[in-house]
Amino acid sequence: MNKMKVAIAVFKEHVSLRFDCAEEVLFVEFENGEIVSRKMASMEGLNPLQKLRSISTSGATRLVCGAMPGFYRRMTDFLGIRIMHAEGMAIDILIEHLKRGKSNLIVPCSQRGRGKHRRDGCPWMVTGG
Amino acid sequence: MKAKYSDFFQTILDSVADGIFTVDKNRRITSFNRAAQRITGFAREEAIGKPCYEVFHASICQNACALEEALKTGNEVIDRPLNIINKEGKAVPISVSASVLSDGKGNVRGGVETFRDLSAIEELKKEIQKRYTFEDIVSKNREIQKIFNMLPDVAESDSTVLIEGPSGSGKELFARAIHNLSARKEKPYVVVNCGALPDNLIESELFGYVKGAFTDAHRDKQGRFALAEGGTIFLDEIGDISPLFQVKLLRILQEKEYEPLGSTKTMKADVRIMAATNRNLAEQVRSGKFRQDLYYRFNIVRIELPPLARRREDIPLLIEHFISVFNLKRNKKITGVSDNVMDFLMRYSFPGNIRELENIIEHAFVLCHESVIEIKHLPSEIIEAFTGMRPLPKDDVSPLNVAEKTAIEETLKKHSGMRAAAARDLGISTVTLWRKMKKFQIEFSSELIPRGLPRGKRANDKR
Repeated sequence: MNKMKVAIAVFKEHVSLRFDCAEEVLFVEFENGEIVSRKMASMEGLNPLQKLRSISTSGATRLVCGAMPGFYRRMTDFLGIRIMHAEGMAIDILIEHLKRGKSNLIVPCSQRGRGKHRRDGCPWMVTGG
Repeated sequence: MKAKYSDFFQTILDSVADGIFTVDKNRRITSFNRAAQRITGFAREEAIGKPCYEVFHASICQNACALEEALKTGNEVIDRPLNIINKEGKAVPISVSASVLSDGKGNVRGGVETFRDLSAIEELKKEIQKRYTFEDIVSKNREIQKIFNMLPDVAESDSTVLIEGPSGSGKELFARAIHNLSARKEKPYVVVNCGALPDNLIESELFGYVKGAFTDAHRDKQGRFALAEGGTIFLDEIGDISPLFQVKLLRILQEKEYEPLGSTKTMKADVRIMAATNRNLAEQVRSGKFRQDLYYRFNIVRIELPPLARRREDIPLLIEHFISVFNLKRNKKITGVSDNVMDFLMRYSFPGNIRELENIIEHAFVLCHESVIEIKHLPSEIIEAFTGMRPLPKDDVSPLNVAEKTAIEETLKKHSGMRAAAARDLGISTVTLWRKMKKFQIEFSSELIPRGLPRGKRANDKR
């Protein structure tokens, strides 16, 4: 049984360029490559700390987003949420990748700018799109 | 000829202190000057060809792009304040101006954006206005992260907060952060240092007085509670107030009511109360120095800040933070601290906590005229307190000292900086060698190690 709940910081059908500017978060739950649930939650008026808290309490273990200031990256680590950067990627394409278990197309925060994921030394990776 | 002009323009752009970049119609970067590289952290080669939003991550990229507005309206956008996230993940405040680039026939070819780094100005503003947010608290310590996690709830609740922690651990920063996160953030934030006010003054200072309340009370004066109306009052060093005043404070905490000195009129206070102390209030209650009922009124939400010695993992982060702040304030370009300084600070006990670390870095900034802070730039008292030894005075050039220093340096060089082997060779223990290196301020490692040799394969080291 392969289960995963992903939170995606959304801006107009795309992954938000910045986590703190996202006004909506899409929660998608996958089980064996199928979408079990999909729910959009408004984050309007919430500060980034509150957004992170609501993502954490939803049970999501991964967060797909754009750039994130260091303060919130440390907080996300503390909450046990893995960050994946896919800024600007279309949500539908992203979900297809995640469904197929191709989350490796999205570069996790910890691997940014290292090894095979290095792309011109840019820490903000957009891949797969 | 075209290439020559291109180089010519690039040189002009690079000589400008503001960041400048140009984009084509698809918002892909076509040129990027030196200041833009410095502010964003991206090299020109990395930026060129990328969509500008991938490089800037500006707060307006998604819905209020300045370039898009200039391209749409044909009008210039001037000095719009915003923040970007640089390559290191740090938010940088800037102001941008954007204009359309057209060819001679009026066809739009793209746009140009200039931007100015406002970090120094914002830092000074923050210091003057004391508008700190929780984002200004630098930590990756688990205890602090736990506090961050509960901050939104604490800020929302409007309950009384008690912040306990040793002196210099950042109690006021947390109090301000809670206020700035709360619904009262637009209202006043008033700080009262209870420890600094004598008993006979504290009541009139907090509650105010009316004309004639005492000799020299020529007119009514508002107290701090009235000044904080609608906002937050932060009572610092609450553990230092007298038993007499503890009774008076009890009422305002309980009923949110008070009477100015000399007045018979009861005032209602719509104020959130936060208090802080570097004492252990529970202990004070047990020893009878602090009223139990008052303690319970304060102890609704309690935040305990650990001393810096218990959050050593934050020391490198804090050093980096203070260096970047002082670089902005003092217009210096210090890049960091040497390995020896880092090693020393990681082992130092910091009785004065974060404030002491800040002071140490500030002291080093005064003395350091190089790019890296070395041991010699640190205050001699802390080195002495830590090692039990004064650093070698500058004028101490006795032949014996010089000979000893030279012998140590030569031996370290011979053993490629390996202390154990050098100590064996010198016939002293490694601890003695370490102490002497400190005394003579010998910085071994890279400077003394011949280049091109891997550390493990250096000559004569049998360790």
